[in-house]
Amino acid sequence: MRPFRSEFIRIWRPAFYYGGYGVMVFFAALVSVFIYTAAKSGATPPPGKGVGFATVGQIASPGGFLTALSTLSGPAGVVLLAVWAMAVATDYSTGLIRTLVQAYPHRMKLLAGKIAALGTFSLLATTITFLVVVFLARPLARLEGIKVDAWTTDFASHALKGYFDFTVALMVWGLFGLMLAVLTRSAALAIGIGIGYLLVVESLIAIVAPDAKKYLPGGTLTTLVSGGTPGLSWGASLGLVVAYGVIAIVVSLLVFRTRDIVA
Amino acid sequence: MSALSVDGLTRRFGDLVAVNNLTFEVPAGGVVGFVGPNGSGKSTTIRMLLGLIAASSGTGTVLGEPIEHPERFASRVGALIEGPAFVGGLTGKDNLRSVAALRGLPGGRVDEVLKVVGLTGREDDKASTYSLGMKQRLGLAVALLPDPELVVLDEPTNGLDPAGIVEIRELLKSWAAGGRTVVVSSHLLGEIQAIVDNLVVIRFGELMYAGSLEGLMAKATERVVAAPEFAGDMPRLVEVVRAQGWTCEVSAGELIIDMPAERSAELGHVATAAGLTLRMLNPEADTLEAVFLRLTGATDAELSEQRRAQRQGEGA
Repeated sequence: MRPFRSEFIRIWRPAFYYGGYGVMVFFAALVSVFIYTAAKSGATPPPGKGVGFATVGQIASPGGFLTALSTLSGPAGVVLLAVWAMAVATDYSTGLIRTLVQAYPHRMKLLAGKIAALGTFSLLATTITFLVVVFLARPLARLEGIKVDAWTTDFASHALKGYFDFTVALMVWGLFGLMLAVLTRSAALAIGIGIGYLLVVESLIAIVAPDAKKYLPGGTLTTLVSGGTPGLSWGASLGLVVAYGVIAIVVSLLVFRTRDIVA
Repeated sequence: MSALSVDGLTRRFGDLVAVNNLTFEVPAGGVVGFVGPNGSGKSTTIRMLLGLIAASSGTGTVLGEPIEHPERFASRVGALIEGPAFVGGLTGKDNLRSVAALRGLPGGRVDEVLKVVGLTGREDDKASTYSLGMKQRLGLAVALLPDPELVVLDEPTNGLDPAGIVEIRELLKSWAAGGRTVVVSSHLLGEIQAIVDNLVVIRFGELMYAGSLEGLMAKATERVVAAPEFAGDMPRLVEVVRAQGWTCEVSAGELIIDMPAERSAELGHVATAAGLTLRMLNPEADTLEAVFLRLTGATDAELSEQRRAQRQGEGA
């Protein structure tokens, strides 16, 4: 609890909540407007690798009010990856890690507290973003003339499942940021590697080995938020995402516990 | 009980032996100076003692607890390691609150240490707006938070103005007078000399001296520097001095005589008896800086060159 409280005092500052929450709300609004406008105008690119634009039919179906979430999960995930990476790597770049480890040498608990604090911060971020998507859905659909009668079917269960998937996926994006920051001890490197891998390397892998992409972290995260695909079920994607999250936590804890603090 | 003790403490970074078989003991209470040239292994030693890095071999204790278990002594130790480190976007007070929360200390302790280091009134300003001296004070406040038995401070007066240096010096003395052990690592030897009771001197990661300041200063040499009123009398003065059995040399129009400083008056009498008038008669003693340089070698550049040669020799 002490590491959690300590970390929360440090991350609960304008640079983080304006930067983190503000950017995520902006992306949520932007993606929502874009998804509804593009679907109605029919100006979406043809289906293909890496293309995930929703059709009017998909939006109008039960649970369609969450259509924007799957497109949003990428940019929102990048934001949280950056937030987690900065929160961890800044401790090294400022030398604060020396003070923290000297004051509280239980390194596993120290990092666990940091994970809990960043997880709480991220939970609030995903909740706000989710609510923006949900509250913008009806006015945007009405604006574009999309019928949404079907949305009332199982609204609560769709909303809960959508919120759960979105939250789990974004938490794992954050955990990737944590792991990369612990490994590199540099926010710039961690964010660069994270975004480069998830947005560039996986896209290249998708071209070379299309079947493999769905099992890779980035692809699996998107699949989970989409509620599963014909190639990878929702349950399988959830299992993989959780496994990736656990791997990120274990690697971070093991490295942080044993590595010298030379910052 | 000793505040710190190390026995054969060694740390290697690849081929580099940063700390080599270091053995010393620091008694509890008082101010201890931990000095050595740049790259001598001071920071590495401090980090090993505080549990930040692991020793390659050897053992050590802090307040009687083994350094392999820093959790057993962390609550009794405060430290400022290699300069103050903060979150610039947080206020000074919130930075302290963050560390106080980690240590499980009540919020009131934050106000207490702010007052002690003289930051009251600026505590609600962002740390990024603080001057170097104020950041240093904030770093000292962090070290003081746990009301520690042992305080380890790296360059505590760095960035402080002369008045601030005097203030911190008095603060450190008062902490030691209150029963704490204060370990100060610094390059400012004049500063160290003014406050320490004991010294640990290392070079190339090896111990050069551990003991009292008085013990080290006993190695200091004393001399008397004299000059005759008329430059032409110098040969005669040399003759008189040598006749007394003292060794001397002439340098830049001054006569440097190897003799106890307290006997300078005797030299004055001898010169007068010989009909010489002195325009200068100065008793001098080595400063800690001079003793340190004699003990550790020379300048940083020369030491770097020596170290490079040493490593090449080991590699050959």
